[in-house]
Amino acid sequence: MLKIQGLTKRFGATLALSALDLEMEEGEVVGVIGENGAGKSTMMKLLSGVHQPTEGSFSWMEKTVHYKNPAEAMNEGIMMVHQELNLIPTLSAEDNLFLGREQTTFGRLDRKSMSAKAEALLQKVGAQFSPKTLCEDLSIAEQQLVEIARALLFDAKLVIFDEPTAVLSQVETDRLLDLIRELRDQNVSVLYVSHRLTEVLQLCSRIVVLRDGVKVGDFTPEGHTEADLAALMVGRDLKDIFPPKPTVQDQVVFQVSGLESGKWAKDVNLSVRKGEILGLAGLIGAGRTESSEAIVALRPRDPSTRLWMNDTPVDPKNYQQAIKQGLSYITEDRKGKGLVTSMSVEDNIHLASMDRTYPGKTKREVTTDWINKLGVKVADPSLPMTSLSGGNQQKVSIAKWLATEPQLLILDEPTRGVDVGAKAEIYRLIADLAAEGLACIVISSEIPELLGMCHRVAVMREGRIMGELTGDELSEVNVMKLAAGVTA
Amino acid sequence: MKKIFQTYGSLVALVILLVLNFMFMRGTFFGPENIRNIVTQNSPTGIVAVGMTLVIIGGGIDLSVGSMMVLVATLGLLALNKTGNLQTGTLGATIVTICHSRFGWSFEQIGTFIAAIVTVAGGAALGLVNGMVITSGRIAPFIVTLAGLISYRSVALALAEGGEIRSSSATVFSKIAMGGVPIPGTSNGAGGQILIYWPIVIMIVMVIWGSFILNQTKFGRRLIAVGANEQAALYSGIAVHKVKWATYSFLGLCTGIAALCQASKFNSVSTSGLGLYMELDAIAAVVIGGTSMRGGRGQVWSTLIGVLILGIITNMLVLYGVSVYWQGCVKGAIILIAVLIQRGKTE
Repeated sequence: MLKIQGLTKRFGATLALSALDLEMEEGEVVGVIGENGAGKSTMMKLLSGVHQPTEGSFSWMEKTVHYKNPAEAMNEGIMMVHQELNLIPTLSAEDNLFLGREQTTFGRLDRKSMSAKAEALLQKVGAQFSPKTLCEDLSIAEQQLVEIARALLFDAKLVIFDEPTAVLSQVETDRLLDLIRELRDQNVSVLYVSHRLTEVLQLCSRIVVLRDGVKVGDFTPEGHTEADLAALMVGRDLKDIFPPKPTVQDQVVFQVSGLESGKWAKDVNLSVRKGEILGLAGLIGAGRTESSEAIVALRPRDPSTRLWMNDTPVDPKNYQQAIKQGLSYITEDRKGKGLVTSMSVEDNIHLASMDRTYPGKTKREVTTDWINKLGVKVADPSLPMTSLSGGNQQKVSIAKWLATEPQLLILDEPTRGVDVGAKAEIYRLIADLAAEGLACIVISSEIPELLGMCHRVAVMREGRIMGELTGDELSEVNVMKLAAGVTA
Repeated sequence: MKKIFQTYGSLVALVILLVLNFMFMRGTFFGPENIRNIVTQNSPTGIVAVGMTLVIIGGGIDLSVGSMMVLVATLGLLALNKTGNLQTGTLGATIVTICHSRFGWSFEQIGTFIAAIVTVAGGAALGLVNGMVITSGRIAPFIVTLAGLISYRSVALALAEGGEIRSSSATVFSKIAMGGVPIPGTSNGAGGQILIYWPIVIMIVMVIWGSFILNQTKFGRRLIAVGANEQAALYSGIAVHKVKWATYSFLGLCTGIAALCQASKFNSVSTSGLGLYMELDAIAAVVIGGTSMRGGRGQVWSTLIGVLILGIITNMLVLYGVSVYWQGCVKGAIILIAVLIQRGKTE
């Protein structure tokens, strides 16, 4: 069915995918695993026509193809279910299904016929909602069903799933996996990209492992465990990349009680001690980011919320006040909200602390101090942010907030879009800061990273803290159970 | 319930406005002639606003419509005036002569016909140019049409040397705006019936057409998709560029029609005055109608209500004797209030 030969993609100097060879049969479910930046997305985007290969090619149904855009791939039966779903929020489920393939009679939309087909298809994938529901009113799992129904409508022969379960609960995940098995039984080939190793082992008849753009494994799941898949993905033992956890001091630096902010935070209670790293786990949309934003007054919070810094009640009305009181928040959206990428490294470091004066030091000396302390790799601080890699950009973000002399630092997805080596450096950096007495809250969707780094992990679901785990309770299963709301 | 209120909010506002009028000034306001006049005065804005609604739903904006109106109206009238005195022997003169002798059309009729074609087609063509520069040049619609706003009127001013162009047609050309359908059972006080002028009829036709395009055609679906999430539209295999070309061109067509109505009403074009601030009025009407400036959401009929709300309020202010100078201030307040109410409902 699908035959990939020497597929290579470069983005500027970065080699995203290097000479990939892969073959797939009809009705085969192949799992693709790898860390962030391993080349999984690049591979999918090449197959589905979003990107075009730098070198190499692939053949589909015995014919070498060069897709210039996703529409061409779709017309030949290759469909991708994107991670950030590609539906139009202001159109209904059925309108989205038929988008690009609307049926008309004499130029007028044939609503009746489309409705009937949409209903049948949505039923087939087990949807419980009306086809007339607007997509903005559907949950993520429901939107995913719309995309899968769309693949059926377009008569797809190869469906590529990009991290489909990253945002699903356990029940929803099980339903999705069943649906994929049904697709397989109808001779549809499936490429299943995920870093949930359990699912991949359960579902796939073959597993392909990518690391730094290179295929490092291609085997059937029999005889393999999650541990050796993980080791193969990372290329070294996971334990080595986390530094020892620093000692927690007695003093409670930060405490919040009864935090309320719309649907995002309901009676959230947290406290962090000096030198402690508190993890905040949960699925996307659980309210972790929003709660943090409410704490630092980037988002309105209910006046009943009570906050303390070092046992003194505080009530920041805006972010400026919060910063003065020693709170800071490093956003997950580094490029969008965190850094001004067109400005220099130096200006970004000083961006949040421009009022601060440094007697006896020039601005450049302060900049250089930060760059050395955090190990930012940059030839000249007056270079723009865009010349830095993701990991170094993240270090600049951290420097920017450390410059405000915080007592509590909230880091939202600090290792997102950062390669493995830089991840390890960021873990060490956070541990060092905690050892110096900083209280840290780390939000992350990668559970192993929270387990490896944090003293305690609080798990959120639908705006509530579902539980806090420490010591021996810290395990991926326990976190997932709380995050997915499974009580058993 | 919320959704219903959100969808019909502008309609509710219009009804409230009419009731207020009924309570305080029924005699003057509800006379058929006053109502007809309000609608007539605002029909060019209404026609432009239909196209503007589609452009805004598609995630764009067009600031050039007012200047485009004066330019295409100028071109139309120049063509009209030229028809009467073409040099014999040229192709144009031959065609005009044939139409004249074969079909029995007067030179004035032929000229009016040509002026209409030039004005409307000119609008569609300029709209297409806007759309193509936006897509091919990858320039923000705001900037492209800002350039249009500045340059189109300048061309018109240059063509007319800063002045006014009078139509050489004594009776026919002005019929486009001043002719119409009589309302049965009414009297205009001069022995005839009150006319529903053609611009009103045209506006209603355009609203129906625009609604049909938006709600009943493939193109409408794709337009909403492009406006709501251009990337997703592209990934769904939609030719995003062509959708934009067609939308801006449709707005150009609307603009051409509105220009024709205005030029016909005065039987002349004042290059410094015609269409002035039309872009602002049209965008204001779209916003008051509840169409999202972020694209992907909106209705044509609610824009018509936005036009009527603006028109009625202006008329009320006139009837109350409020100074013309204050009208802009009231309109500005109305826009803000409309947006605030609509946002309150979605949260």
